[in-house]
Formats: sequence, C-alpha cells, structure tokens
Amino acid sequence: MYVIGAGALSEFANAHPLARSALGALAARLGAESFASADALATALGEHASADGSSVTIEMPWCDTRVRLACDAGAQLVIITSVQATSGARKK
Amino acid sequence: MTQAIRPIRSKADHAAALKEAELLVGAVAGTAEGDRLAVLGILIADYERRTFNIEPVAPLAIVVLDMEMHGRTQTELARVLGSRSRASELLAGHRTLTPAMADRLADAWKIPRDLLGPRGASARPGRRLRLAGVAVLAAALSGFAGGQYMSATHDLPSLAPLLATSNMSGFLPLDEVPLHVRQAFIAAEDSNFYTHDGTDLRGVARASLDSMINIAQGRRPSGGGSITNQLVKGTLLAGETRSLRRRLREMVLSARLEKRLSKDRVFELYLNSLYLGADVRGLKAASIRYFGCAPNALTVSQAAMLAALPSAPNALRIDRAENLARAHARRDWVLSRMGEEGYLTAASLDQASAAPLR
Repeated sequence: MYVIGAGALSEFANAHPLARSALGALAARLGAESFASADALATALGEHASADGSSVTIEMPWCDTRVRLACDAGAQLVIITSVQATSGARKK
Repeated sequence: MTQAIRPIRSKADHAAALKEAELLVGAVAGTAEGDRLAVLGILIADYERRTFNIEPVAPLAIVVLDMEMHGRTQTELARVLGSRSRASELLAGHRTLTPAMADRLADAWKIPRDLLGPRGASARPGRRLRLAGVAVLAAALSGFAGGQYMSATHDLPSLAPLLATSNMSGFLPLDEVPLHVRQAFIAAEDSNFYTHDGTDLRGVARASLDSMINIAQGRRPSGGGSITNQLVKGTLLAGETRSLRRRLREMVLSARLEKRLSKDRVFELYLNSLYLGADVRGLKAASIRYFGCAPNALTVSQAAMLAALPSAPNALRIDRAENLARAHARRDWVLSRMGEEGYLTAASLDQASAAPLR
C-alpha cells in the first residue's frame, strides 16, 4: 500500500531515537502489504493494534509511542495521521 | 466544483494535499472522490519519498517489531529458527539473518518476505572466504605445504568428545552466567569471538608479530588463540606439546567445530573446561574456589579477575600472596578491555578498579 504522512513519522523519530527503528519497521511493513480493510490491517499487526471504522490505533509500549493511521483499502492508502509519545516517553 | 489536482512542489502543497487525503478516506472506490484520493496518495507518497530521508530498515528490526506486536517470545523465535542459540545470537546482533532464516520466519509468522533481506542460495560467501583464509594463513604460518599440511592434519582427533558433552551434574549452563562475566572473558580472550569462524585471523597476525619479537628477545612465543582454539587445545589436543604443528591442527579443528556447534555452545563448553589454576577447571569451580560464591554472584571486579587467569593460571592465582601485584595489574587490564569494548561505563570501570582483588 502507499504509506503517506512520513513527515509526522520523521519528526517524531528524530526527537525519539528509541522509537525510530520501530516506526521505520512499521512503515516498511505497511508499505509491503495490502490490506482489505482497517480491521484486516489491525489484525495483521497483532494485539497492540485496534481498528475503529477506517482508523487504526497502534500502541507500541516498548518505545512509548502511539501511532494513528487512516486506512483506505480502495485507494490502497495508509495515512499516518499522528505519532505521539505516551506517558513516560524517553527522549534522548 | 472540485479543484484540479496539482503537482506537490512545496511543504504547503504537501500539507494541503495530506489534509484533503485525510478527509477523503472512506470514499467509494471508482467514484470521483475515490479516484481523487488514489491520485493524491500517489502524489504525496512520491513527494515524501523525495523529501524525507527515510533510512532503510534492517531486517532484524522488522523481526523485533513483529515479536513485540504479537507478544512472541525468544523461545518461539528459537522454535522457528530451529536453535535456541541461533535465536539469542540473532537478537543480540551477533548473527545476521540469513536467507534461510528469513524464509522460515516469513513462512511461520507471515512477515512479508521482501522485508527480511535478499533471497537466494548464495550462502555466506564471506564465511567461505574467511575459512579459506584460515587455511591459507595457517599453512603459511606453520611453514607447512602440500604433504606437510597433510601430515599435520591426517590424524586429527574426532570432535565427538565435545559434540557429545552432556550437561552433567556440575555443568554450568551459559544462561546461568551473568552478562558481565561473559563480557569479561570475551574482552580478555577473544573480542571477535562472535564474528570469526573459529580462529581470529587478526589475532593470529598480531600474535605472530608478537611471537617474533618475543623469540628475538628470548621469551616464549605469544599464544593468540581464540576461545574456540583454546577449547580445542585444552580438550581434544590436551596431550600435545606446543608446536607449530599443534597450532595448525588447532585451527583446522576449530573451524570444523564451529561448523557443528553454535557460538554459544562453544563458549559454554569453554567456560566449563578452561583451566583456572589451583587444579581447578571451569568457571563454576573457580568462582567457588577463589571467591566462595556461584558465578551468578560474581561482581564485575571478580569476573575480570577470573577472566585474567587463562593467560597464566598458576602465576596469577590470587590465593598466593606473591602473585597479588601481578594479578592486580592483569585484572585492571581486563577491566580496561571491558571499557574499550563498551561493556563498562567510566563510572563502573572506576568502581570495579577500586575494588579489592578478593
């Protein structure tokens, strides 16, 4: 799928190096696959992801990060709508 | 009327296009809005690819992400890879993900195969090159050629005693050895242990130079043996006297052993068999003998002292007062090596150096 919204990802990763690798890996994985719906995307990503309509929230507690996506299966598009530090996020 | 789609040339264009794309999510495919979203997606992706420097992601990061997101454990990874030590070495960064491992993971965990590195059967040309280097260098160093090489290696002992070693009573499993203790031995004896193929060519080259200097000065030639070399020397070749012939045999057996056993297993056998002075063999026995505790209770300073012993087990044993000054210097050298390898912070190094020997 096309993954867009890399600006948010890139800015966040610069401020939070601990999350950089995980975010890069997430974006690479999304870009390499095709999902029929937001639900399917969340299912493929596992227990830390949940879908609500076309939105998907991914909690990444190991790097104190929450990522929100919008998934449009028809357009084969995943938009990274926000990347946030959760409580206790470690900055370097 | 909907505005025509324009190229994205600036940050402002990009922000506006992204905002519109977000609003269009959910548009029915094939409608004007759905088509507009699809085209915007392509334009935005192209702009972002040109604008943001997104570094390629290491296959290992993909594996780790998958493990974390699905709550997978190292044990499950070991099951897929077929080896516990392979899994631990991979996660520790001591081993790279081979195409065969990638195929297994892609199949078992449904990770897109393309993310896990190149496919292919070209298994480890670097390893073959290094093994060839070991043989050539070994032959050159030993002064053997043709038939002489054959005479040194035709009667090599079987690896069976090491391959068949069981974890009998008193055996110390590697997972009961604290990280700082392992690091002390790696730093002192073989800092390239996890990357060479049995013999550290750089160590051999360095030792050869040192040996020439030592011989010229009337001293014993330098050892330069890797951990695997030492394991082989102390077990399979235990009865053989020091000679260039034995050195060659050591290197050939080491390469063969590493084809059969994982690095962690070699290290585990080494820690259980090495001679540490005072008629003591093995880390566990030495830990009790010198410090009265099990290996998992050793301090950094004590670990460094034990890791100092293989170089001169009897001359450095700390239960003899006449050895203390020399042992102190050698322990401090091991600590400084741990610092150089990045295993200790400056503060930890200072603290360990200030600790008494016993």
